[in-house]
Amino acid sequence: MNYPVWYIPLIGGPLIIAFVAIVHVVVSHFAVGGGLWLVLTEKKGYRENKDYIVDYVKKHAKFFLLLTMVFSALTGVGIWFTIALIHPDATSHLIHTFVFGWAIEWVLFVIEIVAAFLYFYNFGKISKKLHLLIGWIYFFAAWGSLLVINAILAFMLTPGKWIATQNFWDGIFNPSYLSSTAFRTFLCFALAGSYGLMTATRKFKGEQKNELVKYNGKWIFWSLAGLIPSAFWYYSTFPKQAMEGLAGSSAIMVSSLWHLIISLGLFILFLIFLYLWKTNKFGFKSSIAMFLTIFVFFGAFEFIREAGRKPYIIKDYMYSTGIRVADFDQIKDKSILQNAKWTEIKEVTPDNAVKAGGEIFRIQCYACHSLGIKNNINKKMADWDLKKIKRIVGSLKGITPFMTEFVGNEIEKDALAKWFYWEVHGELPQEEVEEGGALDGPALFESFCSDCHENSPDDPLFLKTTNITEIDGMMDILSKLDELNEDMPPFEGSDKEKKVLAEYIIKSRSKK
Amino acid sequence: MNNLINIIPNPDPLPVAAGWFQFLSHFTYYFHLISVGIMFTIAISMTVGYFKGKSDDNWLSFGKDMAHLLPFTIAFAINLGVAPLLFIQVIHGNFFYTASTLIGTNWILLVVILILGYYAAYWISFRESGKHGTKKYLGLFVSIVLAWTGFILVNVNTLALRPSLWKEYFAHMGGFHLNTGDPTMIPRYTFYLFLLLAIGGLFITVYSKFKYGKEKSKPWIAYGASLAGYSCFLTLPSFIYYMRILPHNIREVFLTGDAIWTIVSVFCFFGLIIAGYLSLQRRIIPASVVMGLNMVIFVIMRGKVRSLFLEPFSEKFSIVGTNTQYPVMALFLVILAAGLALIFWMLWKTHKELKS
Repeated sequence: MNYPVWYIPLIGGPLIIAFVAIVHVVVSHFAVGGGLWLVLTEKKGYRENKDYIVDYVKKHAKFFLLLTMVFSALTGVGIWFTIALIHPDATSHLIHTFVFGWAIEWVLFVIEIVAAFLYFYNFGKISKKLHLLIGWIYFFAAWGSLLVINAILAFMLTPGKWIATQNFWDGIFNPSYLSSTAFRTFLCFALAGSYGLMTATRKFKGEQKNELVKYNGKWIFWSLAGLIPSAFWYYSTFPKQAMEGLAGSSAIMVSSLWHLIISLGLFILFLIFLYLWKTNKFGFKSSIAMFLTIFVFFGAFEFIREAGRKPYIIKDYMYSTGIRVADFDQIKDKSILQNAKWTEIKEVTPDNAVKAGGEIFRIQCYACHSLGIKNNINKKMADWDLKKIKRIVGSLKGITPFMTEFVGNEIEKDALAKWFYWEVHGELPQEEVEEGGALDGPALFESFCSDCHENSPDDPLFLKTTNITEIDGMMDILSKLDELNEDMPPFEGSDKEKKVLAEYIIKSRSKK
Repeated sequence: MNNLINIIPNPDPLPVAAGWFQFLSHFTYYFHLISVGIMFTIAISMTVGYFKGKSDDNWLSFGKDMAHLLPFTIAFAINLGVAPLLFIQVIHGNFFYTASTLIGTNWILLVVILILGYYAAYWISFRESGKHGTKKYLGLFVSIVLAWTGFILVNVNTLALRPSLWKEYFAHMGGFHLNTGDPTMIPRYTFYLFLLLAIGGLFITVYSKFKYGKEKSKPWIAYGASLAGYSCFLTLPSFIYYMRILPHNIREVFLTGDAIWTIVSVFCFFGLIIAGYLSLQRRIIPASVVMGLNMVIFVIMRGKVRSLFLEPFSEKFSIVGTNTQYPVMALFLVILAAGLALIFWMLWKTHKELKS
């Protein structure tokens, strides 16, 4: 609301963020775990006096350097740029609140770069002791940067005491900080082993390959032994609403959870079958397949984490729309077009309603929804009439706790509904035709109730109204829906529609 | 003016006084600029080396040396750019984010293009053998990528100073805008290009002196010194034109309106002439010292130009909030000092072992 946003509705901001973020985290976590892998594997080579292991580490270090110095570093800048374009309010807030955290992370990154260059370019040229020491410095700097960045990511999901104190350290040591740090650390190690498998199967054959596959398999095994319990620990620190989302109230979280479980299952199966059982059959293709499963696992985890804080971008502090929770009540019924800085239209008129609706979409919906590939709400609206669209816009919070309430006045709500209708149908409906339409109980139930209620005897709509047998009584209930439950929108149909719907509910219940 | 004030996003509070961020921003930018100058000149010199190397083995070997250096310099130039970008987002984030949104697609594509350019630099660096034809064209590609990066950065930085141009957003919400309509953009960019070549030219002279020994280094010292000297002189038309095109009230400050800033701008102008002259005389150390000092003046002057541009919108500047973070800043400074000490220790220790 405060900032303009980079508006590319056919792709959608969240999809771009997800794409850049996932490719970045998969490589940047490798940059941490791989650091430890390099020094420990190099040590193993020296300890066992096996030159081919040292040679393997050297080759892996080149791959590591190319992946982390270039891709990880630049996609890290990329994710910073991207979130600033899609969520500038939140980015500005995070930068201002944690500027010295970011600055410390920058110092650690400078150390990482110098250490990585010295490590790779001086392999075999300096003493083993110094070489390993530089490797350790690299690892601790990289892990240190994870400790800082993860604190800020965890803060966005569980700001904890910070909401009241606004203290830097309360923000850093937030409720999910330690658990998420443990989870991510083990994930770093698991990734290191997975990347190690790729280079081992690419560069070696026969017994040497088998030995290195076993070695990396051990890495992954012990990483999973830490990862799985830490995942449960991390889950236990999730906010209640995120837990409910995983339990079924958020479709995207449930679907991501399934992706996470299936990919982890496949990853473990790969580990058991190919590493523990048929090591000699484990080749480059298997390592790629195994890597892809952990890639999906990581992606699903990031989706869960992101979705878990909805409708906030910073839980309990700022909504995804960039509106601060503290400001919400003051502006929620006022004109959004007047309050937002970056709108061309400041007042809705009959002539500009559709265009104004488009601006309202950009301000209030675009942070999560697109008109294209991901989270395209227009698809859902294909069969909805204008009244239903408006009603849904007015009761977003009641439909799902992962959405915020509509901010704006009634005229703007109407404008947004018209814009949605226009986007789907390419024209606005003839209102007279709608008013004169035939009244049909099932159709009215579908239109007014079905988004939250099912036509089933277990649904609260039927369970809680068993004592109402008269049409007048049911009509009375329909007249005060928003008083009975603040998450429900008021009934916006005509008296005639109310009567037909009341009759239908009573009849349906008696049939059940 | 009221309309402009209204569209400028409200700032977030600062955790410590703005002066600290100004200092940190200038301080880190100084080193970023030097590293970018070295990187850009090395990319150009490598390309020239490969082009000329077809008929001259000395140039080919020089091109190879530059190719080995290039990935390091890209890594440091990018990394040292993060800190000033961070600090400027703290002081003027509301101006900066808005400008970057206006050029959003170009801004994001920059990351993709830089990844390609960076990998190309590594490819050239790691290929001991290989056709020079591929290397020279890839070198050209890397040089263009780096020049384009500078172009986009100058776009966003000039646009951040011009809220009067922000209404373009409604015509370019997809972020395809570039600030080419701003008359200050092109002279600022060309000034930078030549300044970077001047910095890098001096680096090449110093590098050659240590790397190749007294005799062998002569042609490369001559090359670097000429590049630095002529580039210093070539910054001057852009400097003069930029001064001329600045809004009247800003220009006045640097041209007699304010005694101190007039002296600063005169120093900057004549500093470039002196550095150019000394470079052409191949008096490398004095030229480098003058250039180094001149860069300090230039960075301060750049900050002043920015603050003068934004002065009319000062009510939208970030101010210190109620929750200050001075102890956290002290922790950062301690970690910075310890980090630098650790880096120097690693470099020293490695150098010592390599020597022995």
